[in-house]
Amino acid sequence: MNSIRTITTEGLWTNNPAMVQLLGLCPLLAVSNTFSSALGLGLTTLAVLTFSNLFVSLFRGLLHDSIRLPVQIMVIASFVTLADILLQYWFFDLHQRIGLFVALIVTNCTLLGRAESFASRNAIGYAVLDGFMMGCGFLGVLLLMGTVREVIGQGTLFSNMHLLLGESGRGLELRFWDMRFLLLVLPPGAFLTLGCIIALKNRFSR
Amino acid sequence: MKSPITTLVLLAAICGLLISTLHALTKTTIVENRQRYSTDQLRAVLGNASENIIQLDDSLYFSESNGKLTGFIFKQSTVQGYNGNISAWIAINPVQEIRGVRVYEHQETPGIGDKIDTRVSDWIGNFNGTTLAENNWLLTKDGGDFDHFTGATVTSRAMVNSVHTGLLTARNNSIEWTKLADRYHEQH
Repeated sequence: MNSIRTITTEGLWTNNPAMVQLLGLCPLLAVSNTFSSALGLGLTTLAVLTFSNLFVSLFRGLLHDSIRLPVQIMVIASFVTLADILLQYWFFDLHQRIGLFVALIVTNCTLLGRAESFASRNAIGYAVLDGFMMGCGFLGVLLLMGTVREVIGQGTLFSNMHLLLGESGRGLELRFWDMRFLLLVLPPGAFLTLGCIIALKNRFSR
Repeated sequence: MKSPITTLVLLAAICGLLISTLHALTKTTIVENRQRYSTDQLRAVLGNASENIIQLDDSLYFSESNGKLTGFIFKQSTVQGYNGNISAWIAINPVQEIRGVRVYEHQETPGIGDKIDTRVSDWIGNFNGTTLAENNWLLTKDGGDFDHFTGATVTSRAMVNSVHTGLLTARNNSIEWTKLADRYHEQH
């Protein structure tokens, strides 16, 4: 079961955290209204997921059953705190915008789910790869939703990229039309978009 | 096999150590970032003019140039936003004309209501140069002087009302604020 190939396809497609496991929906729905915040939070989640899998796998031999879950959640919470500090250090303006949701990565069940069901039972290399691929799968769906909601909802793409890339990102914004479709920007739009994406995925993987 | 408690304590110590090390390494820069952000906001309200900005209390500053009072900057919050509080700095000159308004805290819908944020749009600049007496403090669609931005009448109306209230507060307190600024000069 543990070939590099299976881990990759599982993370990106067959067992994608957002489309199949339906985990981590809270941040997924909350920050997918623009491409830039989706990218910011997606990359943070990817990093935290990879490192928490690494640590959980590293200590897997030491952990008695009675403390396995507390240790995993502690590791995840620690890495989220580290990510939060680093965001404030490097991307203070972006942190002003998505900071609230960074703390919520702790409650993203994808992380605990992968730590418990994969990292705590597999060798370090595989655990890291699994974390990375699951993170990429999550990031991919987040970016897709960010793109759909931003383009249809507010007629732009890559707005506010300067929060991530510095001043050079300001010129990246594409404006397609001036029409707005409020529904997609508001929270219900997130559910509708995700529903459509899951439906399409199921159609294709049949 | 050690007891689980020892392992748990040990791992918690490692995690704690990691976090506190990183915190110690980044602390100064983060505090600087935070201060830069808030003074940038204050400077930006004044259109980045090179005046001295002096704090009188938590929510009141005055600006001066060569010892001459050039105006006040004060905090104004409203709960009428689409999504809770909108807090802003309002800068006025000595004759109670608006020099600038900057929203520094809000939870308005990204892509719609967040156009009050200068990082998103320049809409807030519409208030520059307005006064209590010379402007009609309503949205254009309510018969006033201020255009709302598309899709966010609630947010626009909240901002107009909030700045209006701010100007009223400033008028009612203008004598006291000037006294405070004078007293500051006597003491320094």
